[in-house]
Amino acid sequence: MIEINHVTKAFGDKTVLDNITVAVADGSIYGLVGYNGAGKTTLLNLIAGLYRPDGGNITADTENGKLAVYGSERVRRDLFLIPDDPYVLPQASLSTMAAFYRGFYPGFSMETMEKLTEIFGLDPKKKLNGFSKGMKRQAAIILGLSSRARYLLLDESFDGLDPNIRMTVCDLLMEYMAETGATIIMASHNLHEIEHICDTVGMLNGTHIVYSCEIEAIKERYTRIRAAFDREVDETALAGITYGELNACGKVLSFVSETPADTVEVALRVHGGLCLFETYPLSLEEVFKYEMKKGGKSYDIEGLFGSKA
Amino acid sequence: MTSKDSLAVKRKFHPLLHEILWTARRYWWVAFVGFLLFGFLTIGVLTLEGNEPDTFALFSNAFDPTLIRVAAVLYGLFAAFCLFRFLWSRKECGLYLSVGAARWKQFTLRYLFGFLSVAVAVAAALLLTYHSEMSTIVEDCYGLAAHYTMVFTVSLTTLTLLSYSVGVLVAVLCGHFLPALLCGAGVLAAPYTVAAGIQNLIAFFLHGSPLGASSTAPYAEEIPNLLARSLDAGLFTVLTDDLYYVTFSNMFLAGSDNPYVAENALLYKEEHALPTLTLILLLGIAAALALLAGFAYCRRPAEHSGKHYVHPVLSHAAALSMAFGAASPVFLLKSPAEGGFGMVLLTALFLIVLAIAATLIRLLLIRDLKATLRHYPVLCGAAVLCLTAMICLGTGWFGYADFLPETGEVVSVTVSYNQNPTLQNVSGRSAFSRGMPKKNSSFGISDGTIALEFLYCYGFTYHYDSLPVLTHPEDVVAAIAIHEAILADGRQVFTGEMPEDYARTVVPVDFYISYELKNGKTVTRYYPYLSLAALETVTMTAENTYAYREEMAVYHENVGYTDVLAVEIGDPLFGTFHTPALTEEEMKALTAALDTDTALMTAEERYNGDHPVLGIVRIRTRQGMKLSTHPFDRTYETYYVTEKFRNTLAFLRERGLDTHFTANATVTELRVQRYTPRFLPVGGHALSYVFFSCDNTVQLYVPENGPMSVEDWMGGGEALPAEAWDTYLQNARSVALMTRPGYMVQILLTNEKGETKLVTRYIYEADIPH
Repeated sequence: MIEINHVTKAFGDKTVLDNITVAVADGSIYGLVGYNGAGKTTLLNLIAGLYRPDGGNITADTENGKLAVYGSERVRRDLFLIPDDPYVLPQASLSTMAAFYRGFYPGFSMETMEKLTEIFGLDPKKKLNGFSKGMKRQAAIILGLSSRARYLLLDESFDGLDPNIRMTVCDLLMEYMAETGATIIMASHNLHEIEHICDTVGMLNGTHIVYSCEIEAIKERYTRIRAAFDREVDETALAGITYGELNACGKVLSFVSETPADTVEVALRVHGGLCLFETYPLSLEEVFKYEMKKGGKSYDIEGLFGSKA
Repeated sequence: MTSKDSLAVKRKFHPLLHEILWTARRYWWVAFVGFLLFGFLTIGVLTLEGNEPDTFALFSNAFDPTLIRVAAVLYGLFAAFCLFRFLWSRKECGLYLSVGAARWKQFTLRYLFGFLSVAVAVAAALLLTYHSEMSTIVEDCYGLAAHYTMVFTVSLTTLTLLSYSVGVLVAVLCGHFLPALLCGAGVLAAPYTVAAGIQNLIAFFLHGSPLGASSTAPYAEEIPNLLARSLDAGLFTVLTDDLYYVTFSNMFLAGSDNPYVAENALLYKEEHALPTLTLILLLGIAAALALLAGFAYCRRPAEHSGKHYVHPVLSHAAALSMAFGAASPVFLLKSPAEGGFGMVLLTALFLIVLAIAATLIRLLLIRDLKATLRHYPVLCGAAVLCLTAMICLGTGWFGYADFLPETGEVVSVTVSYNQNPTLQNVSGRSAFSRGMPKKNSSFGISDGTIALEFLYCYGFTYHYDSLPVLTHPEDVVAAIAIHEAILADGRQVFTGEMPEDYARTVVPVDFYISYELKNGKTVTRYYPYLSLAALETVTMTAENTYAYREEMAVYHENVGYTDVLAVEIGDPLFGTFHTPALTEEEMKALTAALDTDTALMTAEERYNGDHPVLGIVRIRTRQGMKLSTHPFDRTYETYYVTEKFRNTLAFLRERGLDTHFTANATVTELRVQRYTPRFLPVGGHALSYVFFSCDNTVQLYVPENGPMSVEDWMGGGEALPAEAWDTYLQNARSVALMTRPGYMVQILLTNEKGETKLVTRYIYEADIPH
């Protein structure tokens, strides 16, 4: 398990993460979402032991017990970070990088690497600097999976991958977790993949974790409700309900409710005039957008470019 | 999991070994570059210069160690930057710091790899050069050559390792190349600058600006500051010119006709033994820097890679060191004759100028001063500081150094200075630095060409003069005139308009002048060196002041001679002394005559060695008695009497005492023998001459005007037959190294009393014009 306890990180005057507390269970795939600049990469770098937390600590379970990640050689041998912009050593090929990592990860498997290379169709002898962006990411994923690290951290690793490869990577990650019992933390903007493969999702909204729970729990937490009444209604009908994205159009109210649907239905019936009550689950992407709007990350683009004369 | 995977898991796993191998694979070329660089510098450069076969790379006079020391400093920085530059890239830094290896282990391995690479590269190149050139040296010289090579190699390797450690430290502390370069230059230059700065600050507050008249003053000798002395003389001995230059300026090569003086090599071997303590100290400093770098590495925030300074608080220290580095060239410029600052500062100057140029170029390209200032604030600040410092020093601290009080402002003036009657070349070492031999007369070969000069040496006699406090208005004017002459002397030096022989005529005097002003303040200035011309002005003026004449009048009236033990009159050639029976009054008169004569002589007459010495008058006294024009507290005073000592000669001739001078020694026998080259085993102290065995004679021309006031400096002159030389030399505490033929000249002198003196001198065949 990786435990992030009241972690704070600032760069100069800017606080990027403030009192973050998250626990990532063993054998799970944790998705980390957030808008650009929310602190996903910073959090991953903290978990990888690259950055020192200004406050709090991050611990990971190892054979020697729970150890702080930063400064621990032991923990970092169980951690493999695939950064959003993978760095390759000058004039290095996949084989060269494999040889580099093999020295630091006791479980590194050359056989796995060779197999993955075949799956992805990459030439292990070719210099990585000659690869495209997507191929470099594939190479980084190959190296990460070949390391057999207990904790795998992926930062925007799906960017630049074509749909076919994305599916392959998703399958591989799940297989990796299933076979090795590894814990995977992945930060991505691709909420579709997050929703597809992750067990748990944490959302960073500025300096805080908005929520960190299982995918299903998120879906249960947020419901789009459409209610029709026998008379015109407005938001006053939603007193006592936590909601957002309200669209009141005459006799119909459409909104996203954070209050359980049952409770909302009861409340609306009490209000009176309820004719129709429908609920729709939100996708992770819709939940993300909802939370972004709540955080003020919305904008009105109407008239932005002026109208044609 | 497959069996292969199991094997992979079970494979013996050692990240340290992996790290070592990985680092070696990637950075083996760092050592190779160093090997090529130093090999090229020692062999290649000299080969390209097209010298004759007598160009043993490390030991030729053509070899300029300046270049190799600059290379050592630069290579050390280069190696450090190569191995640790990954810290300047956020992505590369992330790669290395995220893998499963402890930071301290990573640092240690990488540092030690670089350390060994540098050490091996430098040492291997130099030792290979030595080995390859051994055939050019006579076999008997191997031991001495090995000694010099070892000293040079160890010293240079230490310098490189020190530079490497500095480079590692700044690479860790800084976020990218340019700040690291500037910080490296600053840290390397800082010790000298700190030492000079401390010296100057102390001098400034105690004595006024030390950057007054004399720009040739080695700063270590300006102020009696133990720290500064130890810093300059002890700590950085390995970085001074002397160690490298003189050591290799006088080696003989097989079949060479180079007219080098072997004894210099012997003398310097004594002086330039391996400076073990210094080197250990430097290695200790390198180790301390490495520990500091390791600590910084472990604490280094990875997120600051790519910024100027990784540890923000250290930016101030870096700025300070850069300011030191930027200011240090000023001391170089103000002290052109001082080689002690060495090439470290020159290298730092080069790097700083390079960095400033890069900034200016960037400014030119982007044409955005704000952006430049934003990105390079410390650099710009250092450049401004340097300019400010140069303006300050160029204007003499805005007139402070040129301060001369108005006559009406002065209550009293105190003047004191040291006088060393020997002529000393203070601009660098020379054969004369051990005690000034002075040319007296010479012998030539039969065609009249001077082929040999006989030298003798004045003993060192320091006089410390402290004039009485000057209060008389005319004396104050005179003192200010002295001060003005000294300032003019210094300005001339600074502008480079001094006469060609200035370096020969600079003497160390430690001149202090202190004004007590009517406003209650005291202003003091200190000038460590003066030219002879300035010293003459000082002496003549000072000794003509009212106060001085008054004191001398009282002095001559009141001085007691009861403590004079004896007066000796001797012959410098024959080394004999006679103690005449003189009454107290006569001794007083003789001493007064000596005082008068020396007082009337110009400084050049007093210090220039071109006047033949007729004889020696030596006054023995108890300590503390003032017996001469220049008060001192020595137990005896030796005067080398020339024709300029008119009063003294009159006194002596009146009493027939001049007969103790050998005025009319004649050559009664002249023997010249030609020796074949010979090497003598290494002993302890060196003699200054090389001994020859000869097998034929040549005619020598003896000057008509004699006398030959020659003293065998080494106290030898044994009348040994030529065949005995070899045996004598075997037992002598001497080392001589020569490879070329020459002549031993033995001159038997007989004076009018029938006393004889055998004088032995040597002429190298190559020195005889044909």
